[in-house]
Amino acid sequence: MKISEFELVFRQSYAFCLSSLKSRYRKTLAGFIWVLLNPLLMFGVQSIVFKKILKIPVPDFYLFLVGGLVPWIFISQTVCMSASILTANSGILKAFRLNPLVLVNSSYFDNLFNFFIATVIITTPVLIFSDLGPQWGVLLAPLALVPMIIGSFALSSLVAVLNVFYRDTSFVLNFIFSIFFFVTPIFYPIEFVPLEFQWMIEINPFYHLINPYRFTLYQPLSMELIPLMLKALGWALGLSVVSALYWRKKKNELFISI
Amino acid sequence: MNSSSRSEVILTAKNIYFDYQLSLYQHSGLRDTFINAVRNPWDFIFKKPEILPVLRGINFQLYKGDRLGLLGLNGAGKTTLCRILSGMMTPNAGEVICPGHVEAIFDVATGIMPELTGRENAYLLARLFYNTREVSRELVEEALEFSELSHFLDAPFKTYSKGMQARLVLSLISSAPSNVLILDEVFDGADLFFKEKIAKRMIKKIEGSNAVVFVSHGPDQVLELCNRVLVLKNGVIEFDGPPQEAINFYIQSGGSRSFGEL
Repeated sequence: MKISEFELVFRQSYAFCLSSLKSRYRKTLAGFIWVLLNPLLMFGVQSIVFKKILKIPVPDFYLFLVGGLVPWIFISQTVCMSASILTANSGILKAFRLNPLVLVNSSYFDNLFNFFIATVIITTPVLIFSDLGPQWGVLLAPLALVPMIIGSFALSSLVAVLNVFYRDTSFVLNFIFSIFFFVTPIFYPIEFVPLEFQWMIEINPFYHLINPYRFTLYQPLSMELIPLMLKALGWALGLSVVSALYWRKKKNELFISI
Repeated sequence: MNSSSRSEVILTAKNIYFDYQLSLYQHSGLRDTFINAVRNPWDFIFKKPEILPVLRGINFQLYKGDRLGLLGLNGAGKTTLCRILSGMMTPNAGEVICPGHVEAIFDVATGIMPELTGRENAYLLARLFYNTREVSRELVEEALEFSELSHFLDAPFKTYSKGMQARLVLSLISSAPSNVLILDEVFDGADLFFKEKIAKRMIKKIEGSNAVVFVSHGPDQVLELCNRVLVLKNGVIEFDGPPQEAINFYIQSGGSRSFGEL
């Protein structure tokens, strides 16, 4: 019986992702430690630099930082890794019929799995030992992650196709992310940004995608979450539409250029 | 006329046109694009890209039992046609009508995950290649046994030679019959001994499949495996008929160079 393209892509992505995880965790302990090492080191270094050396006056700074930094690392790593996923696997794509989205899905969900592990292992102790302790709002954190997951997936699939046609996309992305790290309120609150520059934050998709999640960890539960979620969903859907249109336009050309 | 039954249509290619921009073959970067846009903004926005027509009005039907060979010089559009039939690419005009699955392979010397073993790659490839819900363990294990790679099966795929990679992939894709199977010059990667062995197995698979499309530069393989041949030239079908007549036509129209190369 013929199965639908959607089901086929889902099944193939699942099989590919499992194999990818198996490959990564082949040397079980080393693979597991490696996944945690980057966010742990980044969190450790930034905690010392911004809290102890620069003495940024933000209450409960470790919780504030972890709520923004871990999702930021996930988005930047996933998008940068996705950029080369199609070109690096051009042999597979040319060899047999495989929807290119399967490769993007596999890479994305591999990273998402690692993000969940890193979130639980790094964020939980910070949350428990924070000044106020865990708030009820933290129960909404999985829901607050939904726009970030949709938006980062859309960005990942967009740059994967873009890199097929513009081979320096991955280099440009590294450059862009290093700039955005400083212009996105990750290690400082938006209140630190002078009013005349706050429009720059308003047009920054990363800020809006991360903000609801950080809010659920850092702020007491309130109705303020709703507009943050709506903004984040707006960005996520906008990015999804742009990505879907670009994929549709480039579907044929992709196999010629790859 | 070919010898196959013409009762049941398995696939219909209806008035297929396909072209692409020549610029797609020139890889450029965002930096170059930016420089070109700044240097000559008028051309960047308004200059029409050069278009190369690849397929121009392809019409044919694939019937149950057809073992269709595709002959044509390099650049005739064989692989593009196969990619369109398999659903990898969409034609600019026209359509492919096929109610069942199409399975296609274009290169056999390819590993999915080089870090994983040959056995693990085989299981993954089976799930990706056979478009069904479940792929049986017996099917994969039988293919692995047929490949005669024995203890190499548990070595990482990245350590395999091209010939070993081809053995594994060919054994796997010839394990179960398909609705429509497309094979694009896939025997070329295998070593001589295995080529003969796999050809026998592939014939069994082909006989069990509803229809097969087979691209090859070897006239012997076309005669052995096909019961109908299309000759493509400059994106159009120039001949559709029995293999021997098609080969004669192909040679007369300049295709002998292609056979001679091999």
